[in-house]
Amino acid sequence: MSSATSWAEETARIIVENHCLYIRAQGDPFFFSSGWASPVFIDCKKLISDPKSREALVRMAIECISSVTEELSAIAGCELTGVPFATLIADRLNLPLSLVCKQRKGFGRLAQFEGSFEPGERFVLVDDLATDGESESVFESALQRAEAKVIGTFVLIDYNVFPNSRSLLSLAKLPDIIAVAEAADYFGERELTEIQSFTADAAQWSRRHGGIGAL
Amino acid sequence: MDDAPTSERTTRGFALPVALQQLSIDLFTQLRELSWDGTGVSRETYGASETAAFELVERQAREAGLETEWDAARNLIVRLPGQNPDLATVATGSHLDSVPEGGNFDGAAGVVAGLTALLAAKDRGAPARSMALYALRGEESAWFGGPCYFGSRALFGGLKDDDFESPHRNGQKTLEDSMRETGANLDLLKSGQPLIDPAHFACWFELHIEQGPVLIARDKPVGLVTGIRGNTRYRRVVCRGEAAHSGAVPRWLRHDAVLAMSDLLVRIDEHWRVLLEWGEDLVVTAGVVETNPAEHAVSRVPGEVTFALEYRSQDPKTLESFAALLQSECEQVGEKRGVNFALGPPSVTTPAQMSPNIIALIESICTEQKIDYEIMPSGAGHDSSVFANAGIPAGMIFVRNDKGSHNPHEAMDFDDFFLAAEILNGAMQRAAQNTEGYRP
Repeated sequence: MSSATSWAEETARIIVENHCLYIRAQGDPFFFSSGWASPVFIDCKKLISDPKSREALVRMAIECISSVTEELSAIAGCELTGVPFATLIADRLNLPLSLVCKQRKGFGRLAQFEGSFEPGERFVLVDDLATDGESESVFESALQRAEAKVIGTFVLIDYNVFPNSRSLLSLAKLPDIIAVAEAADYFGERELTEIQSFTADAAQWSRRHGGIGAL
Repeated sequence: MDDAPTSERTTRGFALPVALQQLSIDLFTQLRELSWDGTGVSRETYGASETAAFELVERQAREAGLETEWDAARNLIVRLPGQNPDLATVATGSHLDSVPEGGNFDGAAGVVAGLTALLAAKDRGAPARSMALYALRGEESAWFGGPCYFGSRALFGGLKDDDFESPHRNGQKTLEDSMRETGANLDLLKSGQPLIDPAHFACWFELHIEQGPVLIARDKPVGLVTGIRGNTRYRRVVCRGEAAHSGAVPRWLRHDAVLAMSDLLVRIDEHWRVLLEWGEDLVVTAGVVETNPAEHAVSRVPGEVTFALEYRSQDPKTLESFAALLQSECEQVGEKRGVNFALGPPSVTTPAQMSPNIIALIESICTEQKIDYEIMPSGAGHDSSVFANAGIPAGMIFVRNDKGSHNPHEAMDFDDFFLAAEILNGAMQRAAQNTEGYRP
């Protein structure tokens, strides 16, 4: 078994066991910030609390980030949910840490950051979950404007189903989690059909359920 | 008029005959001419332009040999008596007012379709139950700043003091003044006495254009409505802080009403984002933001700002929880910034569920007539919610409509309208022959 496959399986198992996965086959769908409608919602907030899950996720995150061939010199965490994971990862790797905020506060090169770094610092950006990757793009741009280099963006979970999704470093993608959940009888036939139609063409599913059809 | 209506699609013959199709097109044309304001159509709630549309429909109905009457709220009722006057009536209808510079089909489509349904039934021979078309007054909230459904609420004695006192958007009169001008019986309406017993209605149907993008997106000509969003509206929230010199007073001594309002609205927007992520049904809108022109100035820290706030949901629990959230945010922002938010009395419209029996009836007609449909909730409010909440089995048929509503660019295809009218016609005919009724 390749390491990527085992990361995906273990992460999916943690998501399922912590009941972070919500499926809605009828009624109002879940709506993400950009306006995508989805029958699946993953509540990552719960993962911070459980020490065993947290330890496993951080261990795998370090393995995944260490597989990047380019040399990194610092870790950046996305406000707010990326912060605890970024902090733990930076601590284990003994690397400098900065936090990227959602908005600038005041003047200066570092107005959007907690922490401090010099121009030219080589970051891996850490967040918990990416849906369409839009908010991660905003954080990446902030780092670039502050004259840092982003050599990779890591998330625990990447939906990776929306059109033009960039490929981020991740432990698991949505289909990995669905496969594990299905094997664990987490949901019924009707839910599975809905999710399959979503993963097959997320833009169309979204548009038909009152969400946007493109960014 | 043609002989008994015949359908190309089925043997049962609910399709509108050509003569009634033409009558619909002519009526829409006349309505548009009657209420054109240069940009869109304006049919003012309890105004002369609304009354003119009512009178046009009345003339048309009488010429075709139907009975008409006006009730105490000046709603127009068109009747086709059935063979058994003891049975409850099968009714349909919609509103004839529009928003300022609005579209021609919003509301009027339901009245025109209802008229064709009665005329088709008349040609066929009186059914067991009587049939009625209600052209309803004042459904839109745009003219009197928040409250709405005046005509339908009056039917069931639901108008409150606040409603009568609602100021017109021109600031020169109240709803009461406008009602009086149209000849409404204000004493009766103010007494809160119902104009009609809900038991008079066997069931209620409303055809309406869809005001969102769903039918276009899903490529279906018609929609069957499951439920209608309720709403809570604060017509005029007053945020009071303290006026001050904009140069001389430091940040920590200010009680800036506009910053406090902005803080509140940004917090509410963030709650909304998270609630949508969790799959709650909710829309939130703020508007009519005003600082007092008599005292506001560039160099003055605003001491007071007023704004309107509304939120809608299909779920009464969401409305209730959101009310509590709003209250607590007002308190927190108030405390943090040294201001006070006076929300004032809300006007509340309860979410409504359409009757499963009526949905099943409409669905069976669609299936028989081989018309493709979508089952969907209604984001916008409709008179049907008032009928449903009065305990009357109600159902709504949406017609596909491009470019939204409450603007002059509504784009309803007549072919879609004819299909929807065919469904309304079929459902009303079936209901008028069913002596069992549709109450659970």
